[in-house]
Amino acid sequence: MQVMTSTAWSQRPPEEVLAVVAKILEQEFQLDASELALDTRFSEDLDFDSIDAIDLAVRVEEEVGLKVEEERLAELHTLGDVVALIQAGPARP
Amino acid sequence: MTVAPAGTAAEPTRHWSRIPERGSMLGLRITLACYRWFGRWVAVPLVHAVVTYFYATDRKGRAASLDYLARLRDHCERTGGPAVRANLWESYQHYRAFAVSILDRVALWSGMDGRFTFAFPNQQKLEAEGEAGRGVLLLGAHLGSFDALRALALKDAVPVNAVMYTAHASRINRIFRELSPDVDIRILPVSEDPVETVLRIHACLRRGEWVAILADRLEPGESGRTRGVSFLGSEARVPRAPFDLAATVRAPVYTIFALRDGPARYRVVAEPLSPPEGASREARADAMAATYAQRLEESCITHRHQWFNFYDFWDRGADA
Repeated sequence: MQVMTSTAWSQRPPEEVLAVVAKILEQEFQLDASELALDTRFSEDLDFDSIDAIDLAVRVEEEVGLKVEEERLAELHTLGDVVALIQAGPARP
Repeated sequence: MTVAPAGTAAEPTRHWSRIPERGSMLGLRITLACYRWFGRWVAVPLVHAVVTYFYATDRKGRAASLDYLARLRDHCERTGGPAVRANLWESYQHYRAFAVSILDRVALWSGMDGRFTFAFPNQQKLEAEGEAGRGVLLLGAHLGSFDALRALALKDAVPVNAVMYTAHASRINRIFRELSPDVDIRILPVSEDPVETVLRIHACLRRGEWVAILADRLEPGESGRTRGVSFLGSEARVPRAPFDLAATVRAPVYTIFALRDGPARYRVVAEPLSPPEGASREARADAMAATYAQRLEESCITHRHQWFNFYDFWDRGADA
C-alpha cells in the first residue's frame, strides 16, 4: 500500500479510512472486514489485548505511515478512534 | 541469609510468587563483607555451609530439584546426551550452584564486577543492533545469572531494561537498591495493569533500548495465558506475552543466558530468535517459544545445576 501524507488522510472520508484499517484487521487478525464499523469496540467486541493493540499500531505505522505513540494507543477504544487518529495525523509537539 | 531457592518450602498448589523468601538480610550482608574483605575463597564456603542447612530443611525444594534432575537424566538417555544422575548429592550441588549465583549477583551489584570475567561471543552482533538504533528484545530465563548479563550491559553503557516481578523479591531488591542506588532506573516492574507494562516495553524498544524478559515463569494471574512447549520430554507452560510480543514488535529478538563456566567466570550465550517468514502471529509466537525451550534444554544439559526454578515447573495447575 502506498503511504500517503497526513494531509491526504485527513481529506478522505472516515469510511474510506475505516476500509484501510479493516483490511489490516482482516489480514492480521483474521476478522471479517464487513462486520467492522466505526463503533466496533476493541475490548468488548474484538477481545483485543495490549499486544493486539501493539500489533495494530505496528501495522498502521507500516501501512499508513503514522507512528502511534504508546500514550495515544492507550486512549483508543473503538475503530472510530483509530480512524480519527489517522485523519488527525502525527501529534503536534 | 537469602540463599534458599525461590520456590521452596511451598505447599503443592501454591504459585511460585506466593512462596516467601527465606533467610535474613544480616546473613547476606556478612557474606558480602567477607567477599569484599577476604575474597571469594572465604565467601563461597560460607554460602555452602548456609545452603546445607536450607537443603536439609527444604523438603519441597529438594523434591523439585530431584524431579528436574530426573527429567534431565531421562531426556539425556533418550537423546544420547551426557549421563546425568538424579540423586541427593546432585540435588545438593544444584542448591549450592544457586547459592553461588546469589553471591555473584550481590557481588556484581556491589561494584565488584571487576573481579569477574565474561565471555560474550555474540556481543559485537548485539552491539551492532544497538548502534543501528534498533531496540532489542532479550528473552532470558531463571538459568545461570541474569544479573551477570545486566552488569556486563551496564559496564558497556548499553541501556538495558529488565522486566521484573519485583514484589516477589522485595527483600533482596532492597539490598540491591542500597548497593546500587540507580538500579531501579533500569527495572521495568510488571504492573498490575498488563496494558501499561506492554506499552512501556514497546516504548523502550522504539527508543532503541534493550528490554530483557525472563520468559520461563508465569507471573501471578497468568495461568490462563500460557503457551505449551516441549521441555525435557514433557509439556511445560510458558507465559504467552513475551512470545506474542516477540512475534509482534519489529525489533530483533534474542535468547540470552549468562552461564557460569567457573569461579567468577560467565559466558553470555545470545542467539537470534527469528520467526518464520510469512506465518501468522500465532504461528510465529509458537515457533519462537519452541526454539526458546529447545535452547533452554541445551543449556540445562551443559550446565545442569544452573536451572533455578525450584518448584514444580511442569505442574501448571499450581497457579491457584
